[in-house]
Amino acid sequence: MIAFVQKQPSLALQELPLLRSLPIALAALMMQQVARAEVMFPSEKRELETTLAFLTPPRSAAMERAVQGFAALKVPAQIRQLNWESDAAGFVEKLTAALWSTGQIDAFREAAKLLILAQPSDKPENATKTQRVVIVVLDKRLESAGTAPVLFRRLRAHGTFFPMVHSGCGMEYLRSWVAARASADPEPYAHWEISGDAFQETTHAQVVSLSFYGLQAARRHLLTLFNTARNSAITGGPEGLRRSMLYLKPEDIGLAAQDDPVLRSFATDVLINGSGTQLYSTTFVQWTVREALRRAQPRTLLACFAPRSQFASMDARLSHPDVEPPPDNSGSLVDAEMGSYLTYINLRRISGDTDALFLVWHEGYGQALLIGRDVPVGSQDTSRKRLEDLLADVWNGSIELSCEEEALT
Amino acid sequence: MSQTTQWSRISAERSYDRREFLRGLSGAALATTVSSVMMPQKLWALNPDRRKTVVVTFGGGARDQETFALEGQENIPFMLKELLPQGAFFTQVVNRGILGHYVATASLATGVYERFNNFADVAPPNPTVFEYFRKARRRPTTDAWVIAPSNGFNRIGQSSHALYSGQGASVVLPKRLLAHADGSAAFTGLEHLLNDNYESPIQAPVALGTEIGTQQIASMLKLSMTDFAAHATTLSSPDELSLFIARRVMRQFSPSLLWVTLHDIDVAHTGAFSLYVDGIRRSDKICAELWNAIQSDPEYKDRTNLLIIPDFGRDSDTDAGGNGFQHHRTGDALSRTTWMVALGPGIRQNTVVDRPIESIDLAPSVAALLGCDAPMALGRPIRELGL
Repeated sequence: MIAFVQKQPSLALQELPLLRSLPIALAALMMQQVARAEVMFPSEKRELETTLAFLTPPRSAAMERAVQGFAALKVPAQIRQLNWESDAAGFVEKLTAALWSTGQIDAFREAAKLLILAQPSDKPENATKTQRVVIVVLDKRLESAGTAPVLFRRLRAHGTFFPMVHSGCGMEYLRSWVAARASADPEPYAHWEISGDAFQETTHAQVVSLSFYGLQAARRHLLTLFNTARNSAITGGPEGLRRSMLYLKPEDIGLAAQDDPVLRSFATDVLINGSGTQLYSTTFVQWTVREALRRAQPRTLLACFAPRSQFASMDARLSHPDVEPPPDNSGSLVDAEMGSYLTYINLRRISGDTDALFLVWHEGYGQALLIGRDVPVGSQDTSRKRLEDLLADVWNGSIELSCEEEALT
Repeated sequence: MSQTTQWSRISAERSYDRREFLRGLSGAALATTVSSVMMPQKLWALNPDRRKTVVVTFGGGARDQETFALEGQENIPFMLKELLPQGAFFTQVVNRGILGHYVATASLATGVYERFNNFADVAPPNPTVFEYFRKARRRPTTDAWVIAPSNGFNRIGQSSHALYSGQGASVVLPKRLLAHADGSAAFTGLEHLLNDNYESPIQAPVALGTEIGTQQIASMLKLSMTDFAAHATTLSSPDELSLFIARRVMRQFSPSLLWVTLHDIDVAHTGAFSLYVDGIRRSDKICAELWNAIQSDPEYKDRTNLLIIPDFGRDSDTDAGGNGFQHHRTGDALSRTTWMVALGPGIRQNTVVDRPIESIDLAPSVAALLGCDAPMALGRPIRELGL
């Protein structure tokens, strides 16, 4: 992670004695997280504090095994000499390379797994009050070249497929639905909307809103930085660029105007750590959703895949960051289908969450798939449905919209 | 369960999936399982001077889901319908090394899990199969060629090992033929053929003079740069450019050892799944075209083995440390497990090989096919190749 790493927030000072007592690899990993505490979402901060509490002696036998797993790693002397307390991110970057080159990456993976397993997965105090709902929309412009495709094959086994789902207002309705949920449950960072296009209308104050074109200036700023780096003799190649990215701040890519430091840092992370998020809107949506689910654990998340640009050479994209190639609608449909599947997997990863609802819908083809606790799996409902009715069964807030019904294509 | 045991279990599961899939696809004839008691005849070993080997590696791992698993079959029609019936399919090739494309390809070539920095401009420290072959068989530099992407692969043909100095392969980086020294396109409209690096926006600095010069290559291949550029306009990807050069090398020199590294698949790092699948489909077609080129060339027909092997897999969808197909960073079992297709003399056709082999088994196997040893390689010759 990248932002504010050189600053020593109070949690870092507070936890320093504990971290110093840990094996150096684990200490650096934890410090990397602790150093970011001020820009963490509440849920990820809670998880960090839980981990630190479990690492504090006396530890459980399971946690002790995890710690010993890290202690067994042979960290090279030149890495040990680095200062993990002041530059944990830089330390971890070099440690990772060393673990691969010394053949210890698998032992590291094993230790990391033990660390996760040593903590209870169900945390009643963190249980959501409102059912978590993730809605993925595939923009109507995403279309295959031939006949109407059969969508969501990877997800069919997990829920019920609806081949005919129409909506009067589509995205407008869904955004209102998310806003209504945010009004009813106004917790910070609990409700999100993420788009591969741009949001034309104002976002509800309690809804976190990120879009590919909303971050266009930052994306272009970053591509310009890449271009400058590749033309600089002192860059140090891919690894040098990666190291320099570790220390980029939001203001370095023009994100200073974002008031909220947590969201400012999150958006910066998405663009810097997400490979391809600067170039392709489908990648941007998939990665941003993944990170939002992992870090913020929102109760409502609306994601919309829009057409990404056609493939163009890296050289062209870096040399001309302000030029967006024309859209690739059919390729975007393939991307979005995979992105929907990965989103479902990422939703399932949220610990202790067995009650979430997942809906994916193509607004042009009218095909939808619903996954949830009471939804039949591997099933199909061929009756004509309204999107609004599908969602009303989940949560029926006060939404007033008047839209004409759209015919299915 | 130890990590190694877990790997073995998951790798074996993937092997089973691939085997069952092929059984369903092609019927019982293909599903012959080779065991240690069903050795191919070793007649091929009687005439080593006439042997040739073509190796195709995918520098950009391909997963089961997008290739040999049921849902991936639509992406590899040529391998399934044309190549597999003529060859052997190895269901379980495990890579226990670093999952970076240059260092992994170097490991394939040396038979040793190399540990150098994937992004560094360095030669493999251990001798390559090209050097083993040329030195042992006293072959000229024109008898071993490498066609590779230009992202660091300029050093792949020649190790830094003192005992093998000057015994390396001729290395062609086709994109260099279309680019200026700074990497920019030398011909308008061909920028799309210069893509070769998807893991980072910038490339490692490359030392000059470590490969044969562009003009020299063009001259050796009797290639007019103008004609080359004109032909290149008909191609849609860098790997198609590599195929064009490979054919040219075959025509001009008929080398005994030709190594082609494809790289289009690695566009997966951009996160665009459709581009990744397009890369697999192109690679599939290119492999078939290469095999057809082999079969239609009297210098190669009936005396050439073709070995097709991705350098490794890609991350699984379910590993929380990764992001599915996009990268190969987790080191999980699926990112370490891939497959191999082998065709040609001495290889039993319509065969599925279940037993696990390692990616470092490739170099000693290629050496053995060409009638020499790879003494410093740590892998073992693959007996199902007729060795």
